[in-house]
Formats: sequence, C-alpha cells, structure tokens
Amino acid sequence: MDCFYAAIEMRDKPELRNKAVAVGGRSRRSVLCTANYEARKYGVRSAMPSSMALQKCPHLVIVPVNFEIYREESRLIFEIFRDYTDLIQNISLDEAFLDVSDCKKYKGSATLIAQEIRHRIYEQRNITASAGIAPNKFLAKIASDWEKPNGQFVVTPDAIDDFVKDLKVEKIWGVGKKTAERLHGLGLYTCEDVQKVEKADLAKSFGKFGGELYNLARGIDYRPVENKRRRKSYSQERTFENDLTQAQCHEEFKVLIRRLFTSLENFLLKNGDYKVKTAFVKVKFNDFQSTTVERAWQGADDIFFHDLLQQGLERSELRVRLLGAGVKFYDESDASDMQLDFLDLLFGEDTN
Amino acid sequence: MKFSIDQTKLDQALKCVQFGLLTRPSLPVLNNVLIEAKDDHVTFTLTDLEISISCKTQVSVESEGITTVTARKLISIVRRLPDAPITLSCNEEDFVNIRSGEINFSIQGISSSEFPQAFSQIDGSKFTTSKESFHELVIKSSFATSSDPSRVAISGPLLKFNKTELSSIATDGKRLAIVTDNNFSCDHEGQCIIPPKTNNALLKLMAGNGDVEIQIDEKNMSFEFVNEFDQQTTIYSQLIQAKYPNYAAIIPDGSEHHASINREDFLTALKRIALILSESEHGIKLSFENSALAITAQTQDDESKEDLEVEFDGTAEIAFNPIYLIDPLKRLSSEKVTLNFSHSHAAASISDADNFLYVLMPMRM
Repeated sequence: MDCFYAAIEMRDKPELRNKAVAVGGRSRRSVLCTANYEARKYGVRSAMPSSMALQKCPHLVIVPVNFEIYREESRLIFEIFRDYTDLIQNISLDEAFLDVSDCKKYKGSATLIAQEIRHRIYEQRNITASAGIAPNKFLAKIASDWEKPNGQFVVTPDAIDDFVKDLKVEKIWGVGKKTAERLHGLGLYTCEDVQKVEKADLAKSFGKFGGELYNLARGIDYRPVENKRRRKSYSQERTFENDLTQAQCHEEFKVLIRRLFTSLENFLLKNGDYKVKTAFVKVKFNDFQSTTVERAWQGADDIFFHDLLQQGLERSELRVRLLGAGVKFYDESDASDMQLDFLDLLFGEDTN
Repeated sequence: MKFSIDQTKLDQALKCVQFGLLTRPSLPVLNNVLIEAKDDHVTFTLTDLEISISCKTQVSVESEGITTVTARKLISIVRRLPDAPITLSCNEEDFVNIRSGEINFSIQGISSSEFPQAFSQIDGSKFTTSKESFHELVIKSSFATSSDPSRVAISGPLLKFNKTELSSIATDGKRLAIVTDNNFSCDHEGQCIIPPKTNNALLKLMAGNGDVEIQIDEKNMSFEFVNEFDQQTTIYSQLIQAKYPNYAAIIPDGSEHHASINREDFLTALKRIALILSESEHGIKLSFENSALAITAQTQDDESKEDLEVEFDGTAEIAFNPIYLIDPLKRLSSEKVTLNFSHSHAAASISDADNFLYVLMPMRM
C-alpha cells in the first residue's frame, strides 16, 4: 500500500486531502509512522522525530495513530490476497509477499494477477497499492518500489541481469548502513561491482552473509514465501515523555507489566504451540545505552519482573528513557531446549 | 634396595597408586612410580603434581633404598607375573631388577632425587570419618557434577563440614545432589571443592571398612586410610580454587505435590520405558492420578507406557530426562523415595529417608 496509514486517514478525513499529512504522535519525543507524498516533498520521512518534521514542514498535519482502524483495513486487504493464493508472507500491515505460482487466474500470469489485486484494493478500499512481480522475493521487493505510487513493475527471468546490474548495494536485502560502508570501502557500489568479486573473497569479508551477497547481487534468492514467521519473543516497551528517575521506574513498570501479561496471555491462548523460555527486562538510559536482564521463565510473576528491572537499573545511575519487558520463546527445532536448567539462578547469568 | 613382595600385593599397590598417573606428563619422571623400601615396608607413590597417591605395604626388606621406575612398564610386567613372591632390587645407577622364579626383568629407572615432592604437610582442618559413609557421600552426589570445561567451580563436588554435619554437594546446572552425614563431629567448619580426578580416585579407593582421616587447608587436602587390601594409603590433592555457586538458591522452598514411590520399582520401570529413547530425544512423562503413576515415553515411531502404584493425591504431569532420575535412584538404598514438585517447569526434588536431597529441572512437555 502506498503511505498506508496516511492514505487511510486521507480517505476517511476529506479535509486532509491535498495537504501534507503525517501519522504519528505530536509530543516532543514522538516519531512519525508515515507521511504522504505531499509531506515527503518537504523531506518528511517515516521514523523522523515529529519535532524535526515540523521544522521541515511547518504546515504538516500530524494525525494521531489509530492502529485499530489500520489493522482492520489490513485484514480486509489480506482477504483479497487470499482469493489468489494461500502462500502469503506478511511483512507488515501493508506489505506482503504472495507466491502465485499455483494461481490459475489469467493462465497464471503474475502480472495480470497483480493488476487485478491492485484494482480490487482500489475499488473496494479506495487505497492505492504498488506491486513488484519477479521470480523471487528479493527482486519482487525492489520491483515494488520501482513504480510507486499506484504502479507495478515486472522483472522477467531474462531481464534479471539488466535489472540488478545498476542496483545500488544499499538495495540488497541485509545491507544496512554499516555493511554498505564496508562494501564502499572495497570499491563496491553496485550489484555489478559485487558480481566481479569471488565468492570466497566475499565470505572472507562478510562471513556467512558473503555467500548471500554473492547470490543476491546476481538476483538469486532461494528463500521461499513463508506463511507464518515464528515469533522468537513477545514484548512490550514504552518510551517516556520525560526521563524517569529510578524510583519512578517501578511505578511505570507496573503498568507495562500489566499490559504485557494481558496481551501475552491472549497471544498464548491463540498460539498454543508457543512455550515461554525466558523473561527479560530492557532498560534504556538517557545516554541511549540500553541493558537487558534475562532469566529463565519459571512461571514468572510481577515480582519476578520487578526484580529483573531492579538489576537492570543498578547498572547505571542515569535517568531512564525507555522500559521494556517481555518473554522469549523456545525454538521447537532445538532439542536441547527441552531440558530446563537453573544455571542462571546458580551463576546469576545475564545478557547485556 | 632389595625386598620381596607377593605378586598380588604388589599388583594391588600399583593399581591403587596409578590414579596419580597422567597421560602426558610434563616431566619424564612423572611417568615413574617412586619406590621406597624402609624398615619393614615399601611405599609406592605416583603423582601428576595435582594429585599424589601413596600406598604403603609390609614386606621383608633386605636392604633399604629408594628409586623410581616407569609405572606403566612395571604395572604391565607385574600383572603378567605368576602369583608368587617377586624380588625387586635396584643398584646405585637406578637399574631396577624384577625377579620371579626364572623370570627376570631389568629396567632403567630414574633417580629418586628427580621425583618431585608435590605436596607438603597439610596444616588446616582435620577430621576422621568412616570410609564407608564418606564413600557413600561421594557416590551419591558426585554423579551430578558438571562436565562442562568452562565451569570449573562445579566440575567437582563441594565438601562442606561443620561441628555436626559433613555434606557433599554437586550440580551441573540442571540438577543438584546434596548428601549429608549427621553422624559426624569436627572441631571446625569449612568447605572445599574436590577436583574430578581426585573424586574418581576416592570413588575407586574408598571401598571397605575402617576410617579415613581428612585434612584440608586453603590449597590442598589429604586422605589417609587403609585400602581394601590392608595397605596404608595417602592421597594428596590440590583443591579447585574457585567460588562454589550459591546452590541453596536452587532448593525449592516447598512443593505442591508429593509422590511416595518404591525406589526399586520406579528405577526398573524408568529403565524399561526409556529403552525407546535415544539421547537426543525427549524425556519421559510422569502422569499422576491419585495412586496411579503412568510413566510414558514417545518418539516419532515408538511408544512405551508402564503403570506404577504410588502414594499421591490429585492429578499432575511432569516430564524429565530419564537419566536424571535413574542416576540418583540407582545409587540410593532406601526403600522409598519422595518426588516433590509444583508444576511442569519448576524445579522438582527427590528425597529419601537417608539425608539425600536431589533437585532436578524438568523437561518441557
């Protein structure tokens, strides 16, 4: 979907049309979830602090986040997807991979299927969507940005070489700022540059990821579209308007824990195959250093979480900017995970 | 040096000291056993510098003396000699002669002056206890020690004593065994961690009746006792210099469920049910419903189940690695054990009437 949250707000509030709109909090600490194209012209971006966005675009209308509505909208759109395939991997509320290999519509033409899906989203939900059609996830993801907004782009198998050749390394999945810098340091700026490097040399510089780089730079990506990504953890966190003194933390933490318990209980009810392995508490101090205290889950209660918090707080004397609490789940594929231990109690082990 | 000794006696003494032998010693002389003939006895000593074991046995000494000779060679020669008196002698060049009737071996030894005096007299706590109860203490606890080389502190059992109690504690982070001897008295209190190698030697050498005198100082400990072949045995050992973790934190305060189970029946059933499990697979499940305990195991292909009668109220389920149950049960001697637990992911415990407490973590079901 194109600027999903902003698009929904503009659709539902006609007075916002033709204005620079962003969705997010208005308070000093808030960051924007998204901004419409009008706002983007002023350099407003998602994840930008609201205060900065207002500096760049003083007439920016910041609409508060309404996740309930976005979630419902998302559900309706995903229902449309399901008319074409069951192999849907959702990345976020407004983004998903669809494997339409087995879809019989339009004689299996992914291009026509994408066109119809986008058309139906517009007809039924009055929101525009963009699509990328390609033989694998990596290429499809990049292609979906090519004709944004309200467009689609196809990379056919014989066009892969041309398509990837000029792609900047930053576009490669898994290449963040740091990796990009390292690639640049080696004189590699485009996929074509990366293609010239031996696999072994990439592995030497980037370890396991080197092998992936080698493939992705050639437009090769074997990852299947996966219906359900297994959650590794479940947590709640909150950034506070004003930095908390350590004494205030326990008070605020009570609220956070209550929220965690309620939502975790719901999650576990719906997902019976998840088993909690450890509980953790995250504390971010106002120097932006964060610390995590983690302990084996033995049916943890709020006292247990408060103990973890206390240990986290003792690691610094600074005020606290963010508190988080959550649990990590067992990885069913790991048999050694089946045996519980008390090593953490014995040695007071924790993670930073 | 020259003395005569029965083949059996010599074989036993050498078997006793060979726990002090290292596979690849740093000094050549550490391959050798020190032999000293004096008055009416001969003493054999082996050391790897971390542990030293001496065994003193009565013989008829023709001439006093001292030397060292390759332990492995001597042990294998003696083992293959007939059950008859052996004459062992050496000249001033440490050339050792072993004679049994018509059989004759001559081996080049190393001067005793090169043999290190690894331990000096221990000056610290001292107490005496029965060998049997000490052996029981070690045998019932040390199986739970850790084999993880990165956790030195728990690689051996913790020996802890006060005026009335001697305890041995062992844990590997998944289970904890505590055995206490209440028929004990000592003027001091203290504790030390026994290295695994010393622990193994104790397990092997402590059998039989009689007492053991134990001395402990900050760095070393010693055990003096008469072994099962009536030979005066002295073990010196370094201690593990580490802080033993706070094991008391592991012991559950109380438990919701208590099952009293016949130990032998439980053990036999567990061994049987676990037959279908390979090491990497999941545990066995214990399902209690009042006086009925169902022990079940399941793999992708196989299933096993056995019912036992137990003393229990209510219903509950919990899963364990069967080895973690079998390990203590086979070392206990009491008729019944009590399994205490609260829920399927909290520490459970096994206790018996003989001052044994075992805490173990369950497996996820």
